[in-house]
Amino acid sequence: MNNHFPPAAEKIISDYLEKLRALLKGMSETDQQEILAEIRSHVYESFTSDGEGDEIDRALRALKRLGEPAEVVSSRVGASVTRLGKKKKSILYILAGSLIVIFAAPLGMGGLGLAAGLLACLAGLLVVYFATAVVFVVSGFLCALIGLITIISPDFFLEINRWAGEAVFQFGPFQNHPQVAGLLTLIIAMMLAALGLLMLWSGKHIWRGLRFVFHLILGKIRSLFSRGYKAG
Amino acid sequence: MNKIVAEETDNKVTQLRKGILELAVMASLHRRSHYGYSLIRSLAGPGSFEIKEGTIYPILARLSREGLVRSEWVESSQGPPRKYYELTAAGRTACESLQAEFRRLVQLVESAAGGSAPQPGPRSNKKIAIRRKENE
Repeated sequence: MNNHFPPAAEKIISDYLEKLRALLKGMSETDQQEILAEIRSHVYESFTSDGEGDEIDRALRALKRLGEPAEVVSSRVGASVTRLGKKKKSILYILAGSLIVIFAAPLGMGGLGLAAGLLACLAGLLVVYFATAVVFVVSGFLCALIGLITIISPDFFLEINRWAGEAVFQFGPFQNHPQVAGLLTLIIAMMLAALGLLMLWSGKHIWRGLRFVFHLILGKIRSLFSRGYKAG
Repeated sequence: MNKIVAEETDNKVTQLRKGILELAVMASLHRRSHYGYSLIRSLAGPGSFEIKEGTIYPILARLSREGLVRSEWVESSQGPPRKYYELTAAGRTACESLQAEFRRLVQLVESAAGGSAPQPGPRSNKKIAIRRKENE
């Protein structure tokens, strides 16, 4: 891009255009370039028609008259996000295609199997994580219930033992103090349930993190493809 | 209390200006083609209100998406190339009907404020007929 501005003004205007570019992420490179070129052209006209003060003042005034970058691109960003939403449907196809290109081409079908295995492993780990969290919450609340019953009515479980004819419920070292056993069970059960809930809550962030990594990798693959097209 | 009323009035004025600005952009392009900066200059003048220059670009992008304007890059002897916009045939038709509607609305507001009574157009007759039917 030609520099039409004096150096100090060029720096200020380039910074503004960089902010603008950051807001245009998600749009095609061509569209981004066109918008940036148009805004640059506008700033040039505004800058040259203002004859008061030094070049820095003129550049700052031109950008002030133009407005915040978000105001300049508001409608276009909305449209690009809509287009991205439509593209999301094809993410699975892109992923499958990318896996074939990355693994199957250089490593043969065995490589694709390895990639599928890695993904399955990751999915399995996620399932195990959430299943453990759910088990912790459910068993935590059940144990807390048992603990509460033991504290309120210690004879309840002794009656069950008598009815069953064997020691189904044992209080171990607290055989003579079932209420203490109940209290300890309640505390441990609440901690277990809290741990489970914490895992579920943090799972949301783990899921977001994984999505972020996934999008990052997908973005890299896309840029590799687009570079390949340009080189071709 | 007065501050709240003033803020609400400001919001209403902003909304009103947004709608009118789009029509003003189309009306200006109806007269001749413009690049962004010249379009802003054409909108400035007596009776105009202060706008951030960048706000016309989302409008132009929207009109372009709707097929109401088309654009082309033209080299400039003084600086970077300029992107010129002009109304398409659909844009001209839309602009003319919007301008007619706008005049009707101005007339309505003026008559409501105590000015001359507006001539009822075919659309207003239709609405009255529907309302009468509902009342029956």
